[in-house]
Amino acid sequence: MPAELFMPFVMVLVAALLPLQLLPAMIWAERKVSAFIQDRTGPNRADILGIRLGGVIHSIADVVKLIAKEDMTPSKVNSFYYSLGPFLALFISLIPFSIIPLADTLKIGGAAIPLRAVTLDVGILFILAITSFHVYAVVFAGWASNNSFSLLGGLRSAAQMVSYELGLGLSLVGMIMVAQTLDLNEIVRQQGGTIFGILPAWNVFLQPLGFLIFVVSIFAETNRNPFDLPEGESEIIGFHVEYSSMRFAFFFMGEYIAIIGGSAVVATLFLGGWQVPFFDTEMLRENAMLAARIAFGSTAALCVLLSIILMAYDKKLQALYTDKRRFEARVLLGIVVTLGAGAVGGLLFLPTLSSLGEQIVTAIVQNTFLVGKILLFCFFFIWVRWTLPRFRYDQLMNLGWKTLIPLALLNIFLTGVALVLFDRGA
Amino acid sequence: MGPLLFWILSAVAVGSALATIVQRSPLSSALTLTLCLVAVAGLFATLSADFLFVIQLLVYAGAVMVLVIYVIMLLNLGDRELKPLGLSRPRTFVSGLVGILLLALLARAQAGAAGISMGDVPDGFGGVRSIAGTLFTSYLYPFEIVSVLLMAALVGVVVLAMKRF
Amino acid sequence: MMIGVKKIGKPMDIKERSYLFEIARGMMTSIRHFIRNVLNQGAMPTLQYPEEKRVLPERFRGRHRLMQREDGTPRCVACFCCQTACPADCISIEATERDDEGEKVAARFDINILRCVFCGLCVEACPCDAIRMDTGMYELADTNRENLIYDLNTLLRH
Repeated sequence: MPAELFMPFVMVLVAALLPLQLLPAMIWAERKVSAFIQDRTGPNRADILGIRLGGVIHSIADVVKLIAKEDMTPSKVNSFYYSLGPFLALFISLIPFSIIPLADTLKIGGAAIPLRAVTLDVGILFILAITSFHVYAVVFAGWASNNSFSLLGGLRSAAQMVSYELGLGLSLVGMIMVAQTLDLNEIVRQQGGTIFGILPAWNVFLQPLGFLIFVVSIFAETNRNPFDLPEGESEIIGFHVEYSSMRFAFFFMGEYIAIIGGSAVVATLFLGGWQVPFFDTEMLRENAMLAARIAFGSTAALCVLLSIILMAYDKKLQALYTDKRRFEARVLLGIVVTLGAGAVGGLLFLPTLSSLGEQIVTAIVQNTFLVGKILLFCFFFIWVRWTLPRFRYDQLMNLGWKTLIPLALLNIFLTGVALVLFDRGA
Repeated sequence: MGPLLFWILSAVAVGSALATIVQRSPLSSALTLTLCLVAVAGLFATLSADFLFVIQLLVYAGAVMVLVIYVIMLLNLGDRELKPLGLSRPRTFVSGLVGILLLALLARAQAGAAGISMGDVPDGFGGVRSIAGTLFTSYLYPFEIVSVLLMAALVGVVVLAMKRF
Repeated sequence: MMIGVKKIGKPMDIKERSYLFEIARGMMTSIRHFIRNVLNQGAMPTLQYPEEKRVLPERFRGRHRLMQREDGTPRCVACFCCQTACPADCISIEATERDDEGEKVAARFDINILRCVFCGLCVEACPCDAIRMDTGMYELADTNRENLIYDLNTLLRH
């Protein structure tokens, strides 16, 4: 069966490319969302041949800047360990994607092809194990900088991550008790269907407390805003003060990929993963033609909407600019119209799908929903960052040890009681 | 693919274990030990012992070694504090003896394993369900006793770390 | 505890201590701003500066200019009032005699715009209304320092 042999490699590639492609979008979203929250317009200047895409080009400019900057290595530093920190930070944050199921398992000629890179029936534990490896990056970066401030910063961040790992693990126990499995695809599959006929049976509704603790712990694990002590350079120094150029960029990228990875884990464990609300896999496969039509139709509708927005934008550009930037909206309009025409063409000349085609359409629809959930949760990360102030270090430790861990234990207890009462255990 | 992975992982494991004992810098030793543990975890994975693989990563590589490295970094031994690698006579004798004993044990295990068929493992082998089943039925008492021991250690740490009693 | 924490004000009650409600309120505020700005980007106060420019108030103090009489000669009589009044010491005048009536006139009148603080005291001090700051020019950047010391001709031409 050749498909079984090459699919893992394809999936590894997909799993690595998904976060790396979301990364520039994430950085753009961070800037743009923060700007809008603070009543600013955000980046909109960098352009390639007048195409600015509302500031997306700034991500490319960033890359050029970071590569072109001087790559400093402090004196009396073991350069192997010094480089190991950023390398680990990026590499380890990419690993969890290998285990996220991107869509339901394909069945081709009797062989089941899972749409994830690594099939492991202890997926949750694997994610926790990989999360604990992040500490290495932080500790090595702090120690190898040969600077007492960054050493202290590294120890501080490492202690934070180790502390919140406990909350992270314990918050999942209640969910595992309900799911009775550690396999991620199985957990996602159980989140199909509905509770009381109205809510999708996502774990976030079954385990609200566990979800809350998990989200807070994920924020702390990824060193994200309410807990981003390394970022507070004016008051407290983090582990990456000595880094510059691409080695700093590795930390930066690692942080954002960890955010995307955290979102993917939250989406998989609590928000139904690839489940389309109210439609399970079988129903999607039966109605694959309809699903494909809806997909093409909504793409076309989106293109029409975008064209209207672009036409209004074009008027504004014509009034504002005299140089090549004023043609931007027209170029984009051309692309959008082509896309829309393609979607309409697809809608009109859609061939009858074979069984394999139905499965592939289903997988694409499911994967779209998964990526949508990931993006929504990434937005939540950004939203929180530009709203909340930073915790003080003792407050952070108090929250982790004295609030989240007891709450997680309470959650386990409540889940157990509920399981006994409603007899879903046994 | 299986044999190739086995040879690669074993080579990494043995090589990093050797590097652990011959290196002078404690941090390099700790790092190579971590590499060794990860390689052994990989060997577990090829033996379809998924649970053991993840636990090896989670507990040894992820938690214990982090603590070890933490301590090494806080001590921050410079070149002056480190004694040169050298073997005193009693140390050579003891380590040689232990090595020979270990080899003998391995040889014996190898001889004992000769008769066992290396066929396919049953479905669900090495997964959480089978291990949990064994742990909570046949080995319940040892398991509980170990957890009591761990609890005692935890309480001991809290008592030692507390400033006021 | 390692860190001494000083408690200020009344202790928080259980609702405030759980942070959740206050966090939700804060989040609602920021998302309100976000949605409003996404839907109506034109309403944001930001100007796209080099293309769009702010309408200046009438009394905006921009770059100086020197006034001329009807016959085109400078009004300045080289009284040094502006140079004396200038707190930044950016005006330097050299006087010379005027050919016809024996009145003084500025031979050189340099304003070092790099030092100028745009306070307008020179305009206040001038007895002949010879110097004004009503050009509305504020984009005075240059790549060369010499170009930023404006001489008599530049100031007259404005």
